[in-house]
Amino acid sequence: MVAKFVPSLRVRVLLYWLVFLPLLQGCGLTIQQKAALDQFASATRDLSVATQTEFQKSRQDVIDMNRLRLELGDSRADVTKLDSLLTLDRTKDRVVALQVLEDYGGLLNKLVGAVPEGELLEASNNFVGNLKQVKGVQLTEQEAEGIGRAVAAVGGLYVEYKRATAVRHVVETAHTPVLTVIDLVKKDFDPNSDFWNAGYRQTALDLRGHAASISGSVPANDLASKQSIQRAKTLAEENMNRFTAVSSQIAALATTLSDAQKNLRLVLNPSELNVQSINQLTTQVREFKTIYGLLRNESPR
Amino acid sequence: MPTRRKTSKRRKVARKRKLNRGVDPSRGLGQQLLDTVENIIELMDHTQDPDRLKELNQQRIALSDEARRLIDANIDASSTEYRSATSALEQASATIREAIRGLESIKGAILKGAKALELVAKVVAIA
Repeated sequence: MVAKFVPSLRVRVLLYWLVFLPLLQGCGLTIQQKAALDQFASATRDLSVATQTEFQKSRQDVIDMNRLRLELGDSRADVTKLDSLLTLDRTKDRVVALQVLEDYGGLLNKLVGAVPEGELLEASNNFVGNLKQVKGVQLTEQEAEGIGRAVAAVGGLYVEYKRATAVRHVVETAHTPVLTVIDLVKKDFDPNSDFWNAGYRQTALDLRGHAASISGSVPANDLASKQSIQRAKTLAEENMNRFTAVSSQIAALATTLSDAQKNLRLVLNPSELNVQSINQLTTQVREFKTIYGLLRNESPR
Repeated sequence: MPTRRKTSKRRKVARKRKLNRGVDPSRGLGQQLLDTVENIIELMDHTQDPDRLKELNQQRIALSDEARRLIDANIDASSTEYRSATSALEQASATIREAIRGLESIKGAILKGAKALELVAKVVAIA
């Protein structure tokens, strides 16, 4: 005897509830939220790449400038500490922090794209295909397609619910360390702060200062020394100009990333009032006034 | 022709400006010391007197050493802050990796169901 698999009315109602109830609750991520996540991932990548390069490049510049100080006979320059102030360990702490930040942004983006709808549909088709192979189960193409879609939809909604929960939790937990790293980068490249920028400037000024201190004592016919002194002055000035220009770009990128993180947290938290929710609220108030006017037989104002 | 004298108000403003010159509360003390070092170097560039040059250079070195001490302590402190933030971010990344594994397990569950049905189909076919 061959039994035909026909979902009962109760099963159908249950399936509909499974499919539509989470949708009504709005558990998944909206397009706006996914866009905010994408924007954040791009901003972390941009800042991380530019800043990592600059930390390494500025350390190398300091080594070069201190080496030139030694060549010019500056007794304050130390051959064992050529990267003084911008040391290898300090550079490493910064580069690692930025790599981890970039990794975090990339993973967050990966979480948004993990297990797409197509993959679940493929898995459910596999499921239905095997179900049809079971002896005694007879399904029409339409029924098989319906079951396949239902399995994929329920799985998909569960995936979306889990995804949204994880993203909200992670973004909230990482909010403080993300802003801390951005703030530290901003401080490092701020021309008013006594951090990385100051360390770089100090070395450039030490080179320029030493060059100025010996320029008067060089005989007029010692062209080689004069040339070395001029080279030191030019290098210090060129390096400082380049570093200042790059610093302002990094500061701008850091501001963009800081805004992206704040925006991300705002759009992911439904309790926060953002532009969309304000618009929604305005529409609701207008609708309420119209309905209230009709009920009370008053024309809406 | 007699020159016009500044009014009392203008004199007060001029004195105030002079007192505030070089003091910027938003600028770190190290950067302010470096501003002075930079000014001294400018003076050195235009000084011909060797004694005066030597004196200026000594001042430059003293201020530069003081600035270095301050900047060194600040960069060191911020390195510690970087390490703490890195550790917190690494934890967040580990949570994301776990969540991705969780999402993939849902697809895995459907595929396991499909596999089970395949086995059922084989068993029923034999029976």
